[in-house]
Amino acid sequence: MTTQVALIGMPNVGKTALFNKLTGSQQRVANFAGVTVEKKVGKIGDQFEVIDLPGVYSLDATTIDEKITKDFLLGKGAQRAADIFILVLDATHLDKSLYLALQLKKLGHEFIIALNLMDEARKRKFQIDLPKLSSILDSKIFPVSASTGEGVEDLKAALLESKIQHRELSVPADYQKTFRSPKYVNSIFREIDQILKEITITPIQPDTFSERIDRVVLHPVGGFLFLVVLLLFVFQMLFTWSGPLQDGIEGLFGYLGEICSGLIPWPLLRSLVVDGLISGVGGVLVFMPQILLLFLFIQILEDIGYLGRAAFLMDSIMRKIGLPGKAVIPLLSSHACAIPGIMSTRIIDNHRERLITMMVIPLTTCSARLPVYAILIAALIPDIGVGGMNWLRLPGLVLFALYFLGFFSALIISMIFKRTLPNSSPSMLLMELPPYRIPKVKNLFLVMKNKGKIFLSNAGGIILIVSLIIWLLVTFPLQEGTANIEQSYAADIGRFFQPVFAPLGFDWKMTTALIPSIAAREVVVSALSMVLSIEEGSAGFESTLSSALVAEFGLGSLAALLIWFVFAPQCISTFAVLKRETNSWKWPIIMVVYTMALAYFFAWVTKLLVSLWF
Amino acid sequence: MTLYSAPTLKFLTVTSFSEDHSQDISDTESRLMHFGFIHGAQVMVKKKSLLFTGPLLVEVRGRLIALTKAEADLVEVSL
Repeated sequence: MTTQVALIGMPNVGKTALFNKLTGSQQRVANFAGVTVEKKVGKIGDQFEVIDLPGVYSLDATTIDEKITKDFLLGKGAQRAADIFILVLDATHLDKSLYLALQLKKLGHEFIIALNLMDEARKRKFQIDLPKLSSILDSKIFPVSASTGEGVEDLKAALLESKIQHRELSVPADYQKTFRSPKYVNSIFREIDQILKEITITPIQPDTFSERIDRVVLHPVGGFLFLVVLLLFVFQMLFTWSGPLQDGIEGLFGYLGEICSGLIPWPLLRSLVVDGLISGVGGVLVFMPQILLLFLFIQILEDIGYLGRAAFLMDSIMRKIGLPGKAVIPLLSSHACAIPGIMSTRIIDNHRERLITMMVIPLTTCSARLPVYAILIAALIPDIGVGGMNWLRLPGLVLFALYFLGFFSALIISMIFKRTLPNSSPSMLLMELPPYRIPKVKNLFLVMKNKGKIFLSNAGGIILIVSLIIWLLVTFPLQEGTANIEQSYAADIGRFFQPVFAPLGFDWKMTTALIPSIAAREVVVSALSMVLSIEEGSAGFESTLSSALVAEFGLGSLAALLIWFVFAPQCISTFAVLKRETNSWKWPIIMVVYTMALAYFFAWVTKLLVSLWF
Repeated sequence: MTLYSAPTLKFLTVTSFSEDHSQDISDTESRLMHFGFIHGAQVMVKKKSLLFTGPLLVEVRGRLIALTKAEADLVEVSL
């Protein structure tokens, strides 16, 4: 039987870095029993299962994450108490770390202490009497550095020798009230001051490095400029750096498709493999470069210590619309792709604020909408200069307006969610800004690898299944042995729903083209070309398709379709990721319903206005 | 005065959360105390955001804490 080891500690003491060092790549992510809080579990050999518990400042838990850790420590609620607890303390900030240690000791808790950041403490000339601290806390202490690996093997060896901690905790009946009484808190701080006096040989030198950087990064004007430049860089990175990788993945799957086409003589099986399986898998993997790069970027910012600073800078602005300062990062990154955007909302601690951010992300304009916008704008908007300025082209201005419309709608909808969603936990900024630290490359890649694995294993399955269903719908029934979208089940569905979309000016062909766009928005371009019998990839394809669209559907319907795509429900990948992140079908369904309602209403208004105007 | 209205870069002493404090302690007040905003603690407002009565940065027990106006208004200080 494996022994369960739980890592506990305050936020920013290097607990997760130590977890990564202890377990290496043997990690998996699940949820804690009964809640959607992420539970990171790793292994040390076959003997130990290590859990990285959410960081807590004290046993007086206020958020869902903190309550999980408190339940583990007090052996309450749905959580099974661990066999061995490792309490991670920050050697450079013992005055804060000791608070939790003393609280646990007062309850009669046993634990092993990993005194982390010893390398940094030494650099700052901090010398402490470790045997004395060990004796005061009545616990074994292992000086470690999670970033360099110093002392980690000793800690592992200590686990092998450790006995399961049997504890009889003396938890007061009204412990919540006790933990937050000023008398109790004051007594712990007095005890900390006394301990620090007793164990300090040479005091720690102040962190002037962080202060110097903060002068620039938190400057009232310079700080915002720095943040804007940084976010612009991220945008560029997501678009340009991931572009060649995405092209490479697309090319690889295209090549794979060609090979399979040549190898499989049976048309139906060939179509299943090439158009269903390979396209489905390729459609998932093509997002990976953007997702991995975004997670790399966020992890770098977190490890450096900048995320908290960004939240501080943006907090007052974002709170006006019901979101915390940290929400600016997922909202902006969603302009590249909603999937990493939704996944990056994990940086938001408050459950309600995280949910609101996830729910409005679909309204920001992701890169998959660009091909749709490009074709429809080319069909609708003349390429002329605005106000006699040749450099300012009307199509570019319309594209900007569409981006703005999406972002502005996201802000309005978040204000509505703010008023309607119940607030289960306090919305606090109240947080410690950690000192700046240099991130470790190995740790960054480990995080990227693990998050990539999670995305593929959870969302990938759903995306693949839906891709296959869509293939079935656009392929069957076969006409004289070949697929014909006009006679397919998708077309039947399009014809069936056409009366619903008739007020928007959508005929059955346009309605049919919307079905494959559920898999990925950009697919609507090829679907429209298929229903209009225009060969994709042919010379002048875009202009031919644009002209054909105007001739077939008219300006009003096309304008309505353009506005439809500003609001319309996200692709199935986003739906799958939202389901995974909320651990519920409720929120993805609400997302589809409200975006569909917005899309329908604004497309209808657009059709009406264009019909009146022209 | 409250922490929010206090001048920047001056040593301040927290006068709230004394041991005879009899009122119920909210989640936010509890968190403030755990960060070290306890009766008699020395604190210093390091920075105030300029926008929309934005958040402020306060140093307490050698730690840099970011807090909103509503949070800072819960802490009474004296010069």
